Amino acid sequence: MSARAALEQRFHQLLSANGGALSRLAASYTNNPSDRDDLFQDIALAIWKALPGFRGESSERTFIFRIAHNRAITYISQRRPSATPADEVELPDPRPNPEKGFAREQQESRLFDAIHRLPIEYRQVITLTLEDMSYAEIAAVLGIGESNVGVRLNRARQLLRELLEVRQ
Amino acid sequence: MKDDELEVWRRQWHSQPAVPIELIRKVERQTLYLKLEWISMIVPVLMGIGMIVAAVINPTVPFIFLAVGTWLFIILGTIIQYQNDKGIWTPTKETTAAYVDLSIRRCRRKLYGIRYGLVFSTLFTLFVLVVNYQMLAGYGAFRTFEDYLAAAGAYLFAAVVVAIVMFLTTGKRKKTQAELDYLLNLQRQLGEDQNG
Repeated sequence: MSARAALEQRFHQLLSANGGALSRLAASYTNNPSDRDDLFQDIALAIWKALPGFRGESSERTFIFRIAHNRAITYISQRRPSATPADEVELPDPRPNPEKGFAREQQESRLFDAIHRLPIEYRQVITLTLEDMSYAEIAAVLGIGESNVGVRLNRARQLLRELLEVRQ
Repeated sequence: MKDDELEVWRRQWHSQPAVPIELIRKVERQTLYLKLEWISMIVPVLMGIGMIVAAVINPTVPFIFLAVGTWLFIILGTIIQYQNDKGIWTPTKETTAAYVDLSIRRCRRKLYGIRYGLVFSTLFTLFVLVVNYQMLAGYGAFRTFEDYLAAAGAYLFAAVVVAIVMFLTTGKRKKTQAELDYLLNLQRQLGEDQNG
């Protein structure tokens, strides 16, 4: 197998394994489904460009999320971030039995809205935490100390709780 | 970190719909286009080659002057472009702060590039028009008042084209400036949080 083909295969594997997490991350930066898809594409292309330079200094997961967050910041800076009123948040959910899961859907929707309203530095930490990342991994992705991760996470959780209470 | 509140949020967070497969395919197709980025270099080189061919076919002073001048503009433009692009390909560190810093540098260089591009295109247009005028005058094209009037019309048209380009560039400049302001604000926020 040529180096190029191996790289493409690795890229497809990474995308298949982390597509869901990257999509959720993109959704935390934009409340519009088509913008989310655009951002997802931006992130995936940035990963494709950076992949040949990856030498295994960190885990692949850390590498991918670092690129994703950096790309997302660039993306929202180019898109002139809006105040994003939570009432306009639109997150499609293709699951069946919408009536049965209505209450649960409302809770999920509230969580997404609230996360979207957090300041970026807290949003980054909470989304990575929800993706099951450790303090060390989050610190590596964001380039901050582990103690700083703890501080930001506490503040993020506190803000999130307040936002969720307000929306109830 | 395994507390109940986080576990509930995690479950809700992971319930978001998965990324559509068509989107992944679209990305895979786009990676192919990345290989064709070098094509943008072809246009100025073709223009320069065209000028050389014209100078070979008509080896007169104005044509040679036009060919040499065009290549000087191309070389000077490439050098300035190269200098402007230096240090904005990779971040100094693999951190979010470094990436924000890189984005800020890119915005500043982009603004510089826009300004330089405007001056450069105006100078190049002036150069072509002046040489063109010399050529036409050399051929004895300006005999009557109407000849001068026709030339003035053509030159006015060129000036209008440059003015339209300038107008269109203003929007791009404003957008880049807004992007830069946002990034500077974000850099301040991230820095404050890290220090505090």
